Amino acid sequence: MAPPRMNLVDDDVLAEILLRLPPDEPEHLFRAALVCKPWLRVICLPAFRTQYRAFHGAPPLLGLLYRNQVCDGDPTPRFASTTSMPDFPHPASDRCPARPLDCRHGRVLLHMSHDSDVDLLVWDPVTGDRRVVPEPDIDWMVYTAAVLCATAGCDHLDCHGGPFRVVFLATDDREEVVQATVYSSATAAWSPPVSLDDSCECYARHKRDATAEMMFFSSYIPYVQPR
Amino acid sequence: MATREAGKKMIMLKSPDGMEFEVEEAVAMESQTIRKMIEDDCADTAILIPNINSKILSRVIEYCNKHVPTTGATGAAASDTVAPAALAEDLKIWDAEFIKVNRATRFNLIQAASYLNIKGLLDLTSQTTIDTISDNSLEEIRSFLSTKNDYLPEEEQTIRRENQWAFQ
Repeated sequence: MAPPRMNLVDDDVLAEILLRLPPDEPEHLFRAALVCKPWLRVICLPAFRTQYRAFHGAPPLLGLLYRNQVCDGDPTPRFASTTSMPDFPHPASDRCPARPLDCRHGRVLLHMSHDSDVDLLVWDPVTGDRRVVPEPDIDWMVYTAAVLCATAGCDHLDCHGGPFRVVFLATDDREEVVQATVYSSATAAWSPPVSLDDSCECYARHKRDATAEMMFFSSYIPYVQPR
Repeated sequence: MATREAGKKMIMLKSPDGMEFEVEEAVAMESQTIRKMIEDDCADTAILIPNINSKILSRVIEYCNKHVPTTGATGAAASDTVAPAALAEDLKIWDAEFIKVNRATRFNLIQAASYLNIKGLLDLTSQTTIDTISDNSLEEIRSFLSTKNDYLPEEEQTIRRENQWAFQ
């Protein structure tokens, strides 16, 4: 009698089996896709991806991005893979150094630092997608920023290519205020900046306390923790 | 002591090859598919289970009998005197023996577990298959599962060359 053929197993059953491939090493899914074309088809179905993530929960760590170091300037920009996959190509180059500011929901926010321009880039390491975010309208001195998915109710397991927001928060270079603005990829625009000033009670109290401790300086400069 | 069967509602399952299996309703309801039929009152006399032959259906019932909650081991075993961890360990050993079947039976069990929606059996059968293949080479997986490779040799070579990391 001929041995049973997996080709005869329907897609649902095949998906049930392949769903259990361990997620910690991407090579398992990749190799399974090369067993035969029906397997490739099942693995590439959006429904399978959703099931796979639901089955295994939080996605595995694929790698680390170096941010900054205290001495010797910025480290070589690279995405250090923690799996058998090679490093994802990093958007930085010698001509255009980049510092990662934040990483969330599958996206990396980079500061493409050349001269004093703030030029932000949202990079999806998995798909390679790069979106340039224009400079926010804030005269900043010290800043921090974050990137997040903007889809309502999203589980952030497969929001590659979807709408995103960037939050930019900075100590103003001229006034003693902290300003914040939000960029939306849907409108491709920054929101009008809002200020954290004395009208905010907890901020005013923090400022009073800080000023009281400053024996030798006459003015208080609001400080944003850079990333 | 009252017998365990006293007052238990029984249900008849029929395979397409004409065999009938009388099982406790609680055992049959290990299958979410059958549970729904019973809850929707679509199961007055006997339930025909399509596509699952009597040999596989009897194995499925054997699994459900073992795994139905509160039943514990059959007969006089007093489950309230056995620690849950020991019961779980006993089930694990039982499962490991249960799944020692040939490939054809295993695939049929996966199909049956999928159709009848029996999560534990689906986990057991699918996971055993994945454990067998996940560290094997493509050739070994294809040979083990008798899967026909429909990639052209040059297609496969190109993909392997461009993604060497996945094949080391």
